[in-house]
Amino acid sequence: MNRTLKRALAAALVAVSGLGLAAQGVVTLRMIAPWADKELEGFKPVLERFEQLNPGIKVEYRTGKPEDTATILSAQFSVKKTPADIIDTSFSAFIVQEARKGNILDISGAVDIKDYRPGSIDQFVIGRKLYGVTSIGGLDIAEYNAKFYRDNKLPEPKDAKTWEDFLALMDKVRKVPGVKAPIGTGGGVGWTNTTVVQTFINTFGGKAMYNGLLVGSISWESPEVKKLFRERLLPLLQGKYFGEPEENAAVTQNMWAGKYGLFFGGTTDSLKFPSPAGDYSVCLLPGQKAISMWTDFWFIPAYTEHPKEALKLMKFLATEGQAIQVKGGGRIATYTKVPLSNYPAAEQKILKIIGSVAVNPDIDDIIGGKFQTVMWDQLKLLWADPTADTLDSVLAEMQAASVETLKGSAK
Amino acid sequence: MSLGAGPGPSIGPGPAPLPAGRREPARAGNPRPRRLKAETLVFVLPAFLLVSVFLLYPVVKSLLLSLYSNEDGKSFVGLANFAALFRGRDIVNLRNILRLRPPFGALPNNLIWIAIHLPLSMSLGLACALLMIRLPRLAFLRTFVFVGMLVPGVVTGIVTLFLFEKGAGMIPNLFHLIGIEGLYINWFSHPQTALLALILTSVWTWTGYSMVVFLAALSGIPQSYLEAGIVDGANAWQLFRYVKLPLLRSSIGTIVVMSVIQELTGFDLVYSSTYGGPGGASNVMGFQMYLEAFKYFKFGTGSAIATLITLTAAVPIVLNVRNSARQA
Amino acid sequence: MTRERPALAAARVLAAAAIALAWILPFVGIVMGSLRPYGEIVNGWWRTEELHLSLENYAFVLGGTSIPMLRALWNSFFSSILGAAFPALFGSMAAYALARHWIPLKGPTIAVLLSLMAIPGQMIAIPAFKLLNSLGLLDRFASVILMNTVTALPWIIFFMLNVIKGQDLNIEEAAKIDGASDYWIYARVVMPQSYPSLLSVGILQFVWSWDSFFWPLVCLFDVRKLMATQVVPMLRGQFIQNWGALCAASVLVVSVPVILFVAFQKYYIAGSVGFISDK
Repeated sequence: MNRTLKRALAAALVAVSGLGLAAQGVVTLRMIAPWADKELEGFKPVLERFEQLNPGIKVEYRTGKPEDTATILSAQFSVKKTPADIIDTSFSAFIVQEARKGNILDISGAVDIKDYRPGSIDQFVIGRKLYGVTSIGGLDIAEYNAKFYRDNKLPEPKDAKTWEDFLALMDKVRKVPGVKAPIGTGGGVGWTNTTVVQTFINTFGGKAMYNGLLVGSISWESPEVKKLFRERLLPLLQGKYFGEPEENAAVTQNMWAGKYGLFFGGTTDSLKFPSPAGDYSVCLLPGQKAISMWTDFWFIPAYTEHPKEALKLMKFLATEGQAIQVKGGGRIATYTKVPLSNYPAAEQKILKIIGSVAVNPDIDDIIGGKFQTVMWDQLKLLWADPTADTLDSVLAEMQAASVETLKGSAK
Repeated sequence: MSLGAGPGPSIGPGPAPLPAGRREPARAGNPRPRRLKAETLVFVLPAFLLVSVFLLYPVVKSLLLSLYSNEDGKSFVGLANFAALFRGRDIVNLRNILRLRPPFGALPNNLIWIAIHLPLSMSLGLACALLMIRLPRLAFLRTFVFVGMLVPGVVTGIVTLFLFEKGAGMIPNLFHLIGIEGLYINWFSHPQTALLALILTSVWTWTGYSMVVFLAALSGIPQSYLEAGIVDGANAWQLFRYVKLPLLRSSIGTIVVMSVIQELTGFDLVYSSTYGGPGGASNVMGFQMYLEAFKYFKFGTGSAIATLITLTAAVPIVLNVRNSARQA
Repeated sequence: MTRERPALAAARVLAAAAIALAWILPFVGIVMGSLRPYGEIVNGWWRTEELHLSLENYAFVLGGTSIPMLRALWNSFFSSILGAAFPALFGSMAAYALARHWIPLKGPTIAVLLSLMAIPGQMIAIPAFKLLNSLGLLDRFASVILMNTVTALPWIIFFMLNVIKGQDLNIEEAAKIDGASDYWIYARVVMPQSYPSLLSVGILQFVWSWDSFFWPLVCLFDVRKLMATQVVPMLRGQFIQNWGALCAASVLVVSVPVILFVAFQKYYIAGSVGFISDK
């Protein structure tokens, strides 16, 4: 009897102090995201703030590239386990695929889809359920070092009124001593040339063409797309306006050092330069009506042992977390309620410049899968061999991959 | 080696006649019993059990997937995955092969890889071994050649940067120095040079392997054999051709099989430097398998490519096993 | 041996030095990258107009990052020793039996063993992973040691089979006539004879275990258990790469097998002394 009484007392105590006791048992959430070094510096305050607000939850961070994460998860999911409770990836197609297999936690209701930039979260709505939220991202944009133009007494690219003006300026850049080529080309594994192509479609193609290519209603081999590539891009490649491909870190470094006049990069590059607030500049091409944005995505594997806490973290990351993370620079929020004042000066400048134009989702990221790999790879071929013949085969390969990938994801 | 001075019955302390390519003396009068001994089982079971459970079983399970649909992995489709492979242009690009313009496709690229890499890395390795074994005091130099073998796949991408990029790489700058501007380019960005750059990097890596294997084999050659050759008045070339080379035969077999397998399954290098590009110009079977199975999530197609790789690799393997069975 | 002309000996030294130099140069780039700021090497590490050397990157990589390299290096080291010792032992045992004993279907067995080498690790990842999980080995060093052992066995068996077959049978048969058991012959006759090759196998397999990335990636996820190769890509961000840190980490990862290789050089030399000595 005595023992029973003690137990009852203990139970009552627990019930009374319920919340307090639960908070003492600290839950550790494991997280995988692709940031390291300087990029991680900008993310750490987010985690610190979350832990401050939720004393019962600790977050253990680990760097993981999307490719590696996908490989690890395929194996783990096959035995209904997960190496992390919350994961960031840029492979949106991976999340959708695994959600269909039941490997991703349904997070419906965690966030309001209307609070995010269009096209950045819709793909995770399957049926009536939501399986992922969008993270921060970056914008495809032409960037340059304003000091280079000042020193050489040239007008800045942002002041070019027409396409002809812009090309004339690039011709002058070419003649500056020490310049390798007017525009840098990124090398390595591959996405850099898509930045150029998306910017050109946004400038010379327009919204209808961009969206048509995105959803597959317009072919990459259609006359208007072919015309754009043939008349706008091919002459620049043939005229050697673009330099020899260099590793991404090298090409931005060399652009900053005055070996290139311009580079079609991403707003994430601002972190690489010593004085982003001052001389780091971006510009729209003359007539550019829209800009492309890529993002990362958060999801929670179905096999997490702490779904409640993981959901809490995800909610935080998708809202307040974005507002904190952009302060570190180099990133643009997808959560539309993040105030402009949260951004560092360099990003504020960027957002002001692009303030007037529409923001489109990234074509190769959204279609994903085979199309993305093929687009990256075929564009590298076009840069190496800019002939009309190669252009035709490049567009044909891209179109075939687009059809195949979109057919697969429609199921 | 213990042989020269030891009480070996066949190779006496005195000069022996040159062996005629065969290393084991005839043992016609000593037929081995065709009966499985308990000792034999003790010797082979640990290895065979481990391999069967953790390698053979998973391999069979995965390869069978090549006969099933990509969609669900459950419906049997026969050879449809294989047929689809050869209809596409990723594996064999017939149009470009006929025009002699890369990209040719992953399978021809693998064959080109073998045709260049195997003879080059093996003869360089042999040359290094023959040279280095004569310089015991400079043994540390071997480490320099072997360093390529020590570099893990996750680092090779960085090595290739310092070799073939126009700015940071030595090779384009070397061609610039001697005035061949056509090769003063980023080798990985051009369909004509991308595959060659990967092959040469791989030669850098694998020469150390064949050097080490040859070194071990050369140091195992009984001194008496060589002395016998010298007594018979053989010059350096004859000594190499008629004494050393026949004794290196099994090492050559080992290196050929290991190299061909590595050349066919190679993936890390492509993954970390060119991603198969540009336009598939440096794509190989191992990488295409990775793309299909882990990037496009078509496990059936990925398994079909793995099956093709295994079948192709089986050719030198079977030849070698047959050859060594005949020798024994 | 006959006396050599000094010119020939000198030519040999020169040739060896030239080859060694050619082979080490690509790696010098990485060493430079670890000691100098990226901006200085981006257009050629051999340029020295600007030269700033510093060991900062090493300090950062060893202790300053979120996942310090020191621990990962130790993890890699001991699991690679085991990942080389086990297959070398089991593999040479099986090779001895395959070389000297009667075994049914020997040829096909060897061919199947070798064909297994042609399967990329990714292909067997999922079935093997399920096995490891049901044995409770996930996130334990044993999983990586086991998979490194298993994937090494085919080549080691094949390698040692060729080595043992090439050895003189007469000593073994003499021992047999003296009444020695198979175990004694394996341990006291066959292994001592093949030790330069066995050392080669050990070093090569240590390096392959050390360099393996795929199995650690899939099997180990506790941040305290990561291998060195797993930590290297973690220094790479999404868009920004800290080249200095990456190069320093690469040098560290490569240094351990280098030291091991140098340490075992003398055994190779010992193995070849009888042949080279200018008696």
